[in-house]
Amino acid sequence: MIKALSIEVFRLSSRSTTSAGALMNGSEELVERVRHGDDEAFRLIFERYHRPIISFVYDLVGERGLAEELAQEAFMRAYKNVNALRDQTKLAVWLFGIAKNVARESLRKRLQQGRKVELDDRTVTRLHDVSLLPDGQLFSKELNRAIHDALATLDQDKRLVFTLKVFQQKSYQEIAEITEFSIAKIKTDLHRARIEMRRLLRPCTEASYEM
Amino acid sequence: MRCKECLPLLEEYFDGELETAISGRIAAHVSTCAECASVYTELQRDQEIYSHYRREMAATSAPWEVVRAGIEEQRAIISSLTLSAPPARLLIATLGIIRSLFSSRYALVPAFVIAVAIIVGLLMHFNKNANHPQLAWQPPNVESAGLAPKQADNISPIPARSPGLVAHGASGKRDETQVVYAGNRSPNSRTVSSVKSKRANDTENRTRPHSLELRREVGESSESASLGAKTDVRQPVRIIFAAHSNDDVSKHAKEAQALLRSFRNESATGKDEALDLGYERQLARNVLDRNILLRRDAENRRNLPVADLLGGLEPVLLDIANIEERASPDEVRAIVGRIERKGLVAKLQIHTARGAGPNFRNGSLDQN
Repeated sequence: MIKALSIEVFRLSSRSTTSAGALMNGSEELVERVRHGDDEAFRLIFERYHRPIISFVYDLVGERGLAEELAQEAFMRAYKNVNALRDQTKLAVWLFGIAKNVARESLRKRLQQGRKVELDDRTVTRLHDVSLLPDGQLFSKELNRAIHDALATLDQDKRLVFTLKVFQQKSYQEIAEITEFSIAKIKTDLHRARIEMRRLLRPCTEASYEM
Repeated sequence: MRCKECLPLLEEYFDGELETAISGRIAAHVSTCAECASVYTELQRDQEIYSHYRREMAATSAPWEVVRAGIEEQRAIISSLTLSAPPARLLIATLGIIRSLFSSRYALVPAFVIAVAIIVGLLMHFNKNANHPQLAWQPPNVESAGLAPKQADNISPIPARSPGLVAHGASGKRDETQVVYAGNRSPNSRTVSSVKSKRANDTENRTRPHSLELRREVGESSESASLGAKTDVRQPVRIIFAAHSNDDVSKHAKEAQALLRSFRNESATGKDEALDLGYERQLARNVLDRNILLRRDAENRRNLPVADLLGGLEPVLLDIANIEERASPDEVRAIVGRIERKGLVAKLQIHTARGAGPNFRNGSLDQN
């Protein structure tokens, strides 16, 4: 029994070591391995970028289920077109660019079908109800919902730039590469989006801080 | 630094997008200016709120399974295509290269190269045609010009080139200009007697004012002026002036003489009612077209006697070409008077009789 347990522990520890080692791999090496047909390398890329990509897509389309589908679609496109990636050091920018295209195509399709673009189904969303702010205030469910709704009111360009900067912490240059916007447009859109978001969130944030 | 300079840069400073020197100046200003500090604090506070934004994103392995299944499906499709088909493999590889070319951010480069190649190809094609003697000019294809056969049949004879225009042959020798008829008829087959019997049919199709045709002929110097806009006049043509033969002039003089005689005879009926001169009018239009060409050619060759003869004939032809279909006897008599005063019929007769003689070839009508 002890022997069996020790073997299991060893197996788990060796697996985690492999995984950690793999995650240490640089983007360039992973891309090169994927080009040579290594699916495991692509899985590592997926693990590394899946969360930010799905969050990004979710912020753009506003529906959880759709965001998951679109993120998967984006990764499949990335796998199919991995040879088109010129600068392997810009894997993240490239992936975000693909995700942006997939999301925009979806939004366009929905607009053509006459559907109003609304952010998310409230029933499915599971929010962190009692996240604590550094100053000890509750980050309420309502505030989460308010951010979600406020994002939906921004126009597509502003939402895209705002999401990439504020939530994904991308630099202006990276945003320019992902969106193909000029830096000047990015600055303008970001400034306006910040003002708009602040205006929309003011009632909620003031209430939150008054608690 | 003042607030006016600081405030527009504050967001960039907050986002860490400014150079160190400017960042240092802004930091110094914010630490001393309450107004700018409050704006900066607001940005910080917003970011703090956004950093706690939570989305419902379950961390399961299901998405990867879906992606892996999708990848394997794609791979199966590609391998089924390429199993035993090298051309298919080659096609897929080519498509992959093209796709990678156009999907990159430098997609404009191959697009530009392709556009330049197309333009160069077109230029070379047109240049080749322009230098090719057979392709330098082609008679307008009536069918391709969008004309129905019946319309084409009623088009007046059109000179192959504009006045005295001809293409050089490969040998460099000048070709004699020919009169080409766009319709089915040849000029010689249309004698006065034979055409007179078709007067009724021809009259039906005389709708265009002749002055328009003449203006096009003279103004544009286009070989296809009588065809109007339906003919492609953009074909590359190497234009030079060339000579018409004396035979052409003699034939023309003969035809003009027949026309003037016919016109004169119509007026000699002595009736006071309006005369039907539709045939003469149509014939005058045809003769006038050729007269302009031959007159210009004679002027270019400095053959002044012929130029004078044709120049004197031209106003009369113009009068007849523009006469009313049902012309009044007075109008007809006025034109006949001009014909007689100028002695045109006699001059044309002399020209026709001596056209082939040595004296005429030297350009003299009055000798012998």
